[in-house]
Amino acid sequence: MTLLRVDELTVRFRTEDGPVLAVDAASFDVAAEEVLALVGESGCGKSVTALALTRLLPRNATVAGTVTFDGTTLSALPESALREVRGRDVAYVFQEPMTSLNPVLTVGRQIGEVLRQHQKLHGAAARRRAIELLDLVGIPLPARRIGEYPHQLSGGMRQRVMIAMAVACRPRLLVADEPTTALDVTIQAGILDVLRDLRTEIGMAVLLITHDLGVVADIADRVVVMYAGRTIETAGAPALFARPSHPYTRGLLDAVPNPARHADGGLREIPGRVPVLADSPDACTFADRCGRADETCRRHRPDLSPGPAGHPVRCWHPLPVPEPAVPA
Amino acid sequence: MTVLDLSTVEAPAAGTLPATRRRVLRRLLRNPLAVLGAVVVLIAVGAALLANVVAPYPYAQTDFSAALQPPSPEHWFGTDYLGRDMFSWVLYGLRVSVLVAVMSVGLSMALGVPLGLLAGYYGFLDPPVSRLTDTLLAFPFLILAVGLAAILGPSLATATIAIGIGQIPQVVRVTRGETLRLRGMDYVTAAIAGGASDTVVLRRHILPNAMNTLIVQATVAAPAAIIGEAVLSFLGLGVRPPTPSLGIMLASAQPFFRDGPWMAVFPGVAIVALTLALNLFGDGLRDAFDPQESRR
Amino acid sequence: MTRPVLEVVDLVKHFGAVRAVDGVSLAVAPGEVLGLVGESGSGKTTLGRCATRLVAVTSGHVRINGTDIAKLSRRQLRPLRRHFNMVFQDPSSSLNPRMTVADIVSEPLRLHRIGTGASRRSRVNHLLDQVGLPAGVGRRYPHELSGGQRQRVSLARALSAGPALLVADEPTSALDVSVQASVLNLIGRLQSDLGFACLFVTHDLASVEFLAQRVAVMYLGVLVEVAARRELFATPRHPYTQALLSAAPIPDPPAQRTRRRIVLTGDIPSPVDPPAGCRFHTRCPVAVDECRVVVPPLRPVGPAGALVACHLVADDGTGPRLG
Repeated sequence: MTLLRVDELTVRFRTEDGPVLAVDAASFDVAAEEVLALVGESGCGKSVTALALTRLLPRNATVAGTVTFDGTTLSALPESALREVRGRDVAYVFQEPMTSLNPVLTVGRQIGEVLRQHQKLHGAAARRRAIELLDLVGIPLPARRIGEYPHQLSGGMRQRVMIAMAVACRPRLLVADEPTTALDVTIQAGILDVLRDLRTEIGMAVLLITHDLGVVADIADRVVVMYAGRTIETAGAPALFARPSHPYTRGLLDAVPNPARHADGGLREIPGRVPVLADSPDACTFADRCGRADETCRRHRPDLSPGPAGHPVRCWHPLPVPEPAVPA
Repeated sequence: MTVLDLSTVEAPAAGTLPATRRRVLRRLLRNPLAVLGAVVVLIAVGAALLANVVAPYPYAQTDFSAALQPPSPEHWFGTDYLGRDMFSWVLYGLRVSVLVAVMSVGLSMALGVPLGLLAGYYGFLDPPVSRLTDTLLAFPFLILAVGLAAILGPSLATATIAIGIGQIPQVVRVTRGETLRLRGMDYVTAAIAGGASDTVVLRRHILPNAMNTLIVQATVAAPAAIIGEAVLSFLGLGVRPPTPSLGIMLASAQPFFRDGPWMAVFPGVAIVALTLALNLFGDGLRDAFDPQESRR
Repeated sequence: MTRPVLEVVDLVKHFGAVRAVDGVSLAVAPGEVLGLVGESGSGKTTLGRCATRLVAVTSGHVRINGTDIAKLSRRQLRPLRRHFNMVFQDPSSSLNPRMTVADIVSEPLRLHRIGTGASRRSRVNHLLDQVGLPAGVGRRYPHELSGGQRQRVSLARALSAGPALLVADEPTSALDVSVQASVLNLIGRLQSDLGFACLFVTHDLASVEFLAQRVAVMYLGVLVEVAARRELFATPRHPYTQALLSAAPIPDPPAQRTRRRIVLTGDIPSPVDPPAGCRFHTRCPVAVDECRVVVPPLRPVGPAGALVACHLVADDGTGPRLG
């Protein structure tokens, strides 16, 4: 069942240096209880896409396209109705847990705030629920922790508190924007486990925004790759890693040092850099950096259509499916 | 091999790019209040510097037949009790105001910036310098001015020195803060790692990057200096007649407030307009240098 | 054995009550890349800054080509600084925004009075070419460059005076993956072309695996394991090293989802009051009573001479396998 459908989402910013097209007709959907990873490098539009779902963008942004959540067209809702949706149905977790928590309120108060606003829970009931939530995200001694202030917690604990606040109202969709990027790997592993557990325990879907292919490999069911504002490839996680069709996806995979591969002779580089576009060109935006590009790529916009590996790819000359390795 | 394409622009998330001169100018021009301030300041400073050309009458020329005249086509700002043309007086008075502002701000910067740099860069110099500036701050401005006037005699130089010294603590504070901030930047550490001496670090890496903040500080200090000069001259502690000063004009207008209110109104308006314009321009400049800072 | 370029002996660095580095000894041989790995709070960055004397040293020795710089004054250090330099993590703050790229890269040459104006200019062009930047970049200002290009400028600056030692502090952590790859390739190529020794400080195991010949693992101010790269990644011996390796996700879904992971409980304890005995015992799944009392020395184990600080690892290198 499709929980979230994003159709032709386009976001433009007015900036001092003229208009910037941040998201260029992005389309994808998230099924219920699915972990969908939105992957790309900085400037590809993945975070802007996440914020645009519930119109959390700054005023210099204009948004077009439709976002449908569980049958409701979010993009048509007035701000007051959208505020109800945020937090209750769609919750967010951001990269930097320190700046997202209020430093002068205890953890318990901040969770209580959320419970009061959306679930009308007060006093002892709210406190009990707050303790439950901290326990749910794996914080030891939750009854003691709710009396503490954010600065008394470590980075990993703060991120767990943020997740606890986000899931306080049992949202159907959790949007997690680089939730582990600021954390150490041993802490990251724990946070990913929490997300995995929450998904089954409260039955929510996760839209995970990340640049880290290791995290994707660890937790994602499906992957959407973004480049220069466009969604360029969509596939199940194992298929994407084993049979990438877009040359950019391939390049991204080859750029990561992978202890399992022991590639000699250096890492593959992707020449050039991500373009910043004022408008959507009638071309493949990756053409300037692509070894396979020809005149077609420079003259015509590719569509997201089923590629040789069976999953959708936005490329005129997708990579062939590699020969399956013959087991020895 | 990597192909580098410098023609593509960097991701321009609004306001994240550093302030280049052209960008600062563009932001400044988009701020109508700052432009208004700049125009008023330019007109006032231009008129003051060219007072001997612009003024319709020699400022000291008396004409008892035309004493205490209200504003008219001959005398735009009216005349005073000696029949002197107020418009010409105001222009020459502004010239003194601008002179004192430039000199006293220059003095406070010349002494305050090095002190601030040293206090911010060398931890062991911070307590003594802070003590010194606290002492200066604890000293009421007028007491300082009275003391200086007693020693040096009231004069333009005395007013300049009193105002300049009075502004040193603020300059030290701002410079010290900037130095502390910049000292933590990796490029300063990189310069030290490259073998830079403290002089090189302060001169090449810290001072140039503190410049924007110091310029804004100057635009804040200048109007304060202009008011300071007027106050001191009004009280007889600064510029003495016959040197024209807006403060003296206000003082001499006091007995005639009923018969010739324009004698007080025009110098007063000149002071207010110039200081307000400087403040507007200074605010605009600060926003243009650092749009993110001001949006908070 | 040849004399190491960098030799750190019993290095201690305390910031007030914070015991950031608490008795570390290591050496980097000529032409060697030593990866220094640890999580936040491990003291790895402080160790890098002690090695380049950007901070004062509380006690111990730091020898660069045999000269102990641990207790030298800033003035005494200055002429020696041409022999070692540093690359920083954040490309947006490591270049002076008021200087052109050419001025930035040539600054060490001017400071050490190396060459004439003309020879410095040609050296700058040569350096820019070596780090893969077109010569025209010299006239540009840092804000006109991308993060990856700025990091190349940083490298050119650090190498301009021809140092014997480069300390690279998380040089790729602030960059996008595709840019990371090019900077890692560049460091590798420059290192084999120019032959400098490199202390590569990072939290990223994959880049260490790519670049380093030997790896030192740091936890809470001390070293827990030092081994050749292949040995460390194939047979990590210290429980913390094992946990660290297992926690870093590998970009391969079937492998990542089937591997056994060691999830550590709790956080890194405060370096103000580190645990007694083995500093890892509070999070170690196999700790015994001895670990809580006796500090394990870093000692050679196994046939290849790895160094491990763990009571449970035997002299022949066998020990607890977690997961």
